[in-house]
Amino acid sequence: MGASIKREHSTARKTHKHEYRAFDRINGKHPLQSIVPEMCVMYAARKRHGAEVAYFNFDLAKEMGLIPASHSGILNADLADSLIDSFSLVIINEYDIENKIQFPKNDIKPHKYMATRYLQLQHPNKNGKTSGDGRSIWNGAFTGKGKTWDVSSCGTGATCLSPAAALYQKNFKTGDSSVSYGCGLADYPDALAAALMSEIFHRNKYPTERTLAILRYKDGTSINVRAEQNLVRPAHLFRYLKTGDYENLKNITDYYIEREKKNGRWNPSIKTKDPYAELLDIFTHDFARSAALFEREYIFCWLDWDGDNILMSEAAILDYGSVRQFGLFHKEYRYDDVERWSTTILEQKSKARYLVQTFAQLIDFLQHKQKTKVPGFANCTALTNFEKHFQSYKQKFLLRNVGFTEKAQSLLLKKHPKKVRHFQKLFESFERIQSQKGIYKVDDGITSDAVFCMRDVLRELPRLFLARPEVVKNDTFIEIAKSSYAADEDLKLDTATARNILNFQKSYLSLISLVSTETRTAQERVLLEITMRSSIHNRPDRVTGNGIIRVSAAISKARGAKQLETLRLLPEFIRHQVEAPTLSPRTHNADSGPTTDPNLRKLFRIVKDSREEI
Amino acid sequence: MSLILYSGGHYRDNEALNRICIESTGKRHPKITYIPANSEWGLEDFREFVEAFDDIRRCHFVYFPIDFPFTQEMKARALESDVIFLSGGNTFYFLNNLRQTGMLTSLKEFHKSGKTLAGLSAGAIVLTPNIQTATYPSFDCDDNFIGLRNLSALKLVPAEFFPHYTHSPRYKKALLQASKKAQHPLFGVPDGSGLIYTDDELRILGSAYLYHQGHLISFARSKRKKVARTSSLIDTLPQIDLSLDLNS
Repeated sequence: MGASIKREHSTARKTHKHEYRAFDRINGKHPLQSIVPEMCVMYAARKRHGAEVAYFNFDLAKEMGLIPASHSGILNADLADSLIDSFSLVIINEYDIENKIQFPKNDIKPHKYMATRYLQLQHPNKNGKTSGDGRSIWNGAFTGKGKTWDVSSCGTGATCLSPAAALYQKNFKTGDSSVSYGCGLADYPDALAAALMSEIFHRNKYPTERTLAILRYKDGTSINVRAEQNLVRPAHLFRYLKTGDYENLKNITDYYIEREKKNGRWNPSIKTKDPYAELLDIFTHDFARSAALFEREYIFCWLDWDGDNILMSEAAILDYGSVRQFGLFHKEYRYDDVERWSTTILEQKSKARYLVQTFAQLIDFLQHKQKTKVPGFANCTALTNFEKHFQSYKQKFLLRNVGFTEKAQSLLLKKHPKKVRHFQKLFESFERIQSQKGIYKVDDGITSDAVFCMRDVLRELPRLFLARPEVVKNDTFIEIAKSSYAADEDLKLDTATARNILNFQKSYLSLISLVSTETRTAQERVLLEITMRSSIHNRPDRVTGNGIIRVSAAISKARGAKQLETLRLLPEFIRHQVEAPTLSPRTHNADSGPTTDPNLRKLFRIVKDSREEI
Repeated sequence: MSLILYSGGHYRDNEALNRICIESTGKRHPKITYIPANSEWGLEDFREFVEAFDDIRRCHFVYFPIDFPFTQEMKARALESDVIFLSGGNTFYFLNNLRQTGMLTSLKEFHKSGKTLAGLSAGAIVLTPNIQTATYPSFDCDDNFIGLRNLSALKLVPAEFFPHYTHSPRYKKALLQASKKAQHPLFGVPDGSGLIYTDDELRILGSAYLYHQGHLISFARSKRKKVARTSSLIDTLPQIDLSLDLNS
């Protein structure tokens, strides 16, 4: 991955424009335009002048086959020009046409670009007649290295599918900031935050869309170019389910399956002749997995009945506008979306479950050409499977965070499920305790504060047990676990808490003992491995939503050379957030110091200072 | 009551010193507390450390980073070990954290109790009177990015220690110059070599170049890789007065 913005007029190695011809293939054309034309609102587009490349994801570009694997991590002038040629554009929208605004012919792009229709709960029409990509277009599909990728851009102008267009029943000029959700542009700090968080998630193997590039403009806006192997959302399909449009539902579902198969992502756990049944099975699995991941890793991703904010494929995160990673289990946080409140972290599961229920309805419609109402699927097999997968993944992720290897996780889940459940219950009893301060307002919503940081417990406890295999006293446990939010009254030790502290440690040690016995490994060695793995999984300087917002703001505020220098350090910043429990010995001398770069240290300080926040 | 100063290199490259470290405890399976100079790279190094020591003999390891808050209970348990090993890293950052967490006093007490203290590079420098050797030469010094001013260290070894030494003209020039001002003898020690200080006797494993008052006055080399028994690897350092006032 790379984010270098240094424009190098290469002398050491000459680059040529033809090296970047692959970008020319991202030209607006996309198979969905002929397969499901009803889904696409087509826009002519023109060049947007004044762009500079603020960020480019070299690793992603190499993975996609857009640039050669041997390409340096430095942005040269030819590459920058290619990126600007391909992605610095703005649509000629309904407002432009109504007002007969003329643009230089040379600025008009040769092909049209599509905005797609899908369900969105923000819209007054709940059947998706007016909703979809409000400020994004799809740049096209790109096939490279045997995979096909969808590329889209956010901030390319106001479309007729924005909530504002629907609310006010009129078309908006691109850049009109008088209405929320209507101007069609994107802010640079938000784009940077999305690029950083999505890349960190990707490196930590959380399914997500990724940022390919950010183009920045002098007015503080940006175009955020995103890529994923399949950008279809459940909301795209649900729209046809809602309207009972069987033909288009079948067309987009078949298209989706075909793309997944071609990209090698079609791995059904059941083998039936019915691909729709297989699709339901995969969807159920993926959404249960992501819901469990979000809850265990404190990821706030606003799921709702519309199937927006998440991709069909692998239930991957997209649209980072409201996505956050909490430092603690702040279970009452809700995003304030002006006219409605989001879900809480604990409500995400029920929303994911409802999406599965709706998807079961959708598959049934595809299979029988007759729509049954969604409550009719309240007891369907998919929901039973969802619950099973969810619980299994939640326990697996907890065991992983404890520091157990894949082998030990499987062993415990298979042979000692009761012991794992007991441990999970005790763990969550601490994790979910909220401060007596209660719910209060924050910048973008409301929240409450978790009293304990159980990630700290998972990191420190094995070190203590490794040094001396004895349970720690209550006050030591509290000292490790207490968050910066905990007030004295939150930490009053009653009999039940004291008993839970002891039981939690005993339960923890019993799992260690079981793995030790089952794998015939000395208990001390199991603890040693867990010490190393848990230290990475539960790093004390894990970035939070607030942290990433402040980091992006700090970078955006910097000017000139300082900003360029800081942007150059982003790959290193991302590397510091990667949880890689399989540590391999370093190739260099065992004598490296901490990062001494003052710009990077400043970013680390921000991360550290906001480590327990939302 | 041993002090073992590693110059650097991978832990596996320091097998003889590792062996001395283990044998100094007189225990079959000694308990070793590893304190990383910084937790940023600490775990990768710790794993390498564990593997290298395990190759010699099964030990019991404790991992104790100090640049994030820790409990007194953790500190107490970490200090129960037979060996404390201070890793390599940024010397200024490491010394500052050792001082701020009260670990300098604890390490002195640990040493006084007869246990083994060892360190690699930055970890070795902090065992000496001060960390001046981290400040030069300009082409190979640690970045004092925290602006540390008090460079006095543990003062457990009566000499200064320059790790990763290469016997080239530019290093020689730098150390000759530095030794003019240094209040203690100054050892330039190449990677893979080290010093062992036990009961007022300073010994060399491998190679070392001793600079004192602007002169290169001694040199020693042992065939460290060819002999299995560590005791025969060590040359006792001749002709040098180490009875220096450590408080000066």
